[in-house]
Amino acid sequence: MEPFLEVRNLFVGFKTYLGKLNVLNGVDFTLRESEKVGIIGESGCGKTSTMKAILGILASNAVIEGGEVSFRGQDMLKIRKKQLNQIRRKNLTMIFQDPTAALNPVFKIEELLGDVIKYSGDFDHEKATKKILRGKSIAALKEVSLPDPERVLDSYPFQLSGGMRQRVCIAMSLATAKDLLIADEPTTSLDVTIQDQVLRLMKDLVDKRNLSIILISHALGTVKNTVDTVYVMYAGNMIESSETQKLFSNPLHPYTQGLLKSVPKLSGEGFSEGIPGRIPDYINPPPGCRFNPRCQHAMEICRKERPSLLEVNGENHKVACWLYNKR
Amino acid sequence: MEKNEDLLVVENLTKHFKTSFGVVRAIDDINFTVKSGETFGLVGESGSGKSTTGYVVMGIYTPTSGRILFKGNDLSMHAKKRPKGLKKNLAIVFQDPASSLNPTKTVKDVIGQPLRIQGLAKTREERDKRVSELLDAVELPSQDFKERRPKDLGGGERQAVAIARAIATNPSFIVLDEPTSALDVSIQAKIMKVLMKLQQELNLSYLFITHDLSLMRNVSSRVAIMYLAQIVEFAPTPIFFRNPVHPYTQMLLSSIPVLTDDEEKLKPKEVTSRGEVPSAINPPPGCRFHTRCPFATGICKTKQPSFVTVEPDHQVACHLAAK
Amino acid sequence: MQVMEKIRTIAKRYDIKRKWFRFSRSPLSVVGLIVVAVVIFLALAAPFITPYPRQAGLQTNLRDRFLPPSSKNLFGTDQLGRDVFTRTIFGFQYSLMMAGVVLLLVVPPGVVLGLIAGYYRGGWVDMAVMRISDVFIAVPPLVLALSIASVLTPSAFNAMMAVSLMWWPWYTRLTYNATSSVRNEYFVQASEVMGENSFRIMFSEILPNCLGSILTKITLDVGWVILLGSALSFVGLGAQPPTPDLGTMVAGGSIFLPGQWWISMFPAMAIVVVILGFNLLGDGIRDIFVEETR
Repeated sequence: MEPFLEVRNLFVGFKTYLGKLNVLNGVDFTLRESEKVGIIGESGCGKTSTMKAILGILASNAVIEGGEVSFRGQDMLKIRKKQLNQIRRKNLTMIFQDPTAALNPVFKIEELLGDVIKYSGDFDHEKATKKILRGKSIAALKEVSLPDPERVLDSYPFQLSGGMRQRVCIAMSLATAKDLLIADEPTTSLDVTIQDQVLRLMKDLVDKRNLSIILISHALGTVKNTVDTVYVMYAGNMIESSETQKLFSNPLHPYTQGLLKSVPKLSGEGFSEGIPGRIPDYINPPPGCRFNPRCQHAMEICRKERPSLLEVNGENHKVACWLYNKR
Repeated sequence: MEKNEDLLVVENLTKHFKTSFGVVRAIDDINFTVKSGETFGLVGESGSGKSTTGYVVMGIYTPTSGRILFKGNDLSMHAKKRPKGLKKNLAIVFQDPASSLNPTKTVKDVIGQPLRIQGLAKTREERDKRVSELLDAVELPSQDFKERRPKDLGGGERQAVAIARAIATNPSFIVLDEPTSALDVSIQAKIMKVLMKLQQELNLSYLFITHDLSLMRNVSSRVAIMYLAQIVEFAPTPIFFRNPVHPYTQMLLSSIPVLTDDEEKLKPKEVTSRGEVPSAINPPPGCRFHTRCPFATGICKTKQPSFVTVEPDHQVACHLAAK
Repeated sequence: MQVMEKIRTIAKRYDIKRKWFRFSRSPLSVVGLIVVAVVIFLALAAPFITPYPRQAGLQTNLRDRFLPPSSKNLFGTDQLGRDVFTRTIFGFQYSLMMAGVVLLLVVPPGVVLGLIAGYYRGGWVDMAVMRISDVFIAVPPLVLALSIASVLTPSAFNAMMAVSLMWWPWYTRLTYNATSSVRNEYFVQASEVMGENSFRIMFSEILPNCLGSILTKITLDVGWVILLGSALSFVGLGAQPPTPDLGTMVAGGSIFLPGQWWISMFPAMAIVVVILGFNLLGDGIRDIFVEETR
């Protein structure tokens, strides 16, 4: 299948008072149609910036220094605003971490949801009467298993609980047909039992509609049962990717190994040392592989040249590490 | 204090808040004890009252009724009314590293504040030296960090500073309110290691509050689980996780995301979580969990369950357990 | 060398580099800063740089009345033959002085009251202070200033008193709001739990976090106070002739419009320039203190 979304060698920096933060350092990422992908990484690794680059919503102090983001063959970084908006309306949709911040508190759900449907370009919005919109809105809310959709439509966001708000956000993003759903930490602000429900819901909807989904999280467990492929990101690079099961049972990159070891286990084995050091200074990042100052296996070449994300043993398990890349 | 003596005793503690929507019943008649040198875990989701419990123990809120005894002294009042000498024995580390440190102060000021208030380390040199010692204890480079401001520090570093501030007055008891929830997993591991080390070295007792059960499994010696202002089950940690009896405990345990198959096997049989947490202003009658409980029977809807001892040290408030 | 070191330490302590970066991202703020700097310089140097400094006072020159702008009189002369340019520059002096005095009188008590009311929110202090402020704020500023000034003998000093008397509640309300939100932050709770005394909490923990909005308001207020003062002078309730107050000058010259337009126009433009400068500067200061989001 041709790549549906492809990010190639993306370099993005941010201008600040201390200098330029060279965050994205040649990001490589591929997504096929109907594929479910997760991106895990800790704060500051650049995962949200990558998504913003794809959607074209980077901050004003961002500088795109190289690379391509191609969606169905079109370079998202170079197309005109009008085309970008078309793609955003028809193909892409995003769910954010904080449902409270994503819903405008002065509008009722009916208006919020109605607007999204009305301007989705799915049908001539001149003909969209209140009745038609309400009907479609109720259908959308039913899809996300919200009890009593009529009451929800007539409510303001603050009258709903966190879990319900996030479901409304999901309904808004999937009310009209889309190809790709990007979910940035969608369950982080929710309780554990509600997280479970919402993730299941997302998985069902994605399966039912054959959507592609990019699920971003710093919580490894969130990603495990929801996606088929996982990418691990560190300091602006994708450093490992593989099928979900394989990544968790056989992590190859030293960072991934350290990360998995840091997660407290239900079996009660105590705490690991974590990963020594801290994330690199983006203004003066270490040359070569950015993980090298913290890596106990670091070799000469790690300090000189950045390894590419390459397949290991032909198993669809890719690592960006000189321990595995044949040289 | 000998190890294993009762350090903190909480009796029939209740805290209600009057708001414009009605009376919010944040804590309703809870009882527990923390012994010296141990970590007592309080687990629950949002709205359970676990954080409020920590705040009432620290004196941030005045209890509506009930008693708090610390080493036999009555502490059932607001922090402002507590004797200064007693105050230095208790400390708290908050959940959000961003707002627990004053952004306009330097690290030196922040850690020096409790020293100054309690009159420990009177001269500038003494204070300086003590701040360096404390930074070393939490594994932060002391020379570098003293003059920095919170906004230049990462989340983990800020929490480490908050911990250094908490141990400054040599307390015997620290309330840790979700100290690592806002941190990445690799930094969480580091901070937890520091906390464990400090507990050993300084013989500290912790009231550890979190919603993360995997974390709790590794840190506490006894666990109590709260639902809607009440404790519904408590037991020593290994027993709590091996044999959860209350349906809510089972529900919570079965929904935690784990990474390995070995851990999956340790989870109880799945109790699918249903519904939302009811309002704390109007909690359901009878057993408060009955609206979400798949095993609810007639009596659950009308009568509050009392505690039943299921095993030595393991108590559950559930009508089904009484059978 | 010692001086350089000192400057560097202070810059680091107050994070000047980051503040300048945020400030200078908007070119208009820098324009505001330059305008304000120039105005202040002119105000301070007035006696030394104007061609006819004595005409800012009692000296008149009846032979040269109503002269249009020329190389001898850049802004022309007024109805008493006085050089309008000189008097305008001295007008800056008076305006800035008035703003300075008013804000100096108003800011400390206003802020302190707001701090205390906000900290003891819900108590009787809160009730008392805020309800009194509400009364003052409810009346439109110009009306209130005029009412007070009209009861007193018209003079520059009384105009300043009138403005000061009705200006303080805005600072109280601003500080009250800022204090109320900072009060619930964890670090304030931590201080209380440790046993820090309330006075120190208010002034050392809470107040530094409110400074951003207070400083921004002070800068923007300079413009407002000058405007209000000019309005009072325009109706004769402020500075009395021959004081070269910009408002008085605009009033005095208005009867000669449009023929001898320069008598009113230049002082009016000077008012606009001063206010605009301080407003742009104020926007820049606000940018410095805007919270950084993650």
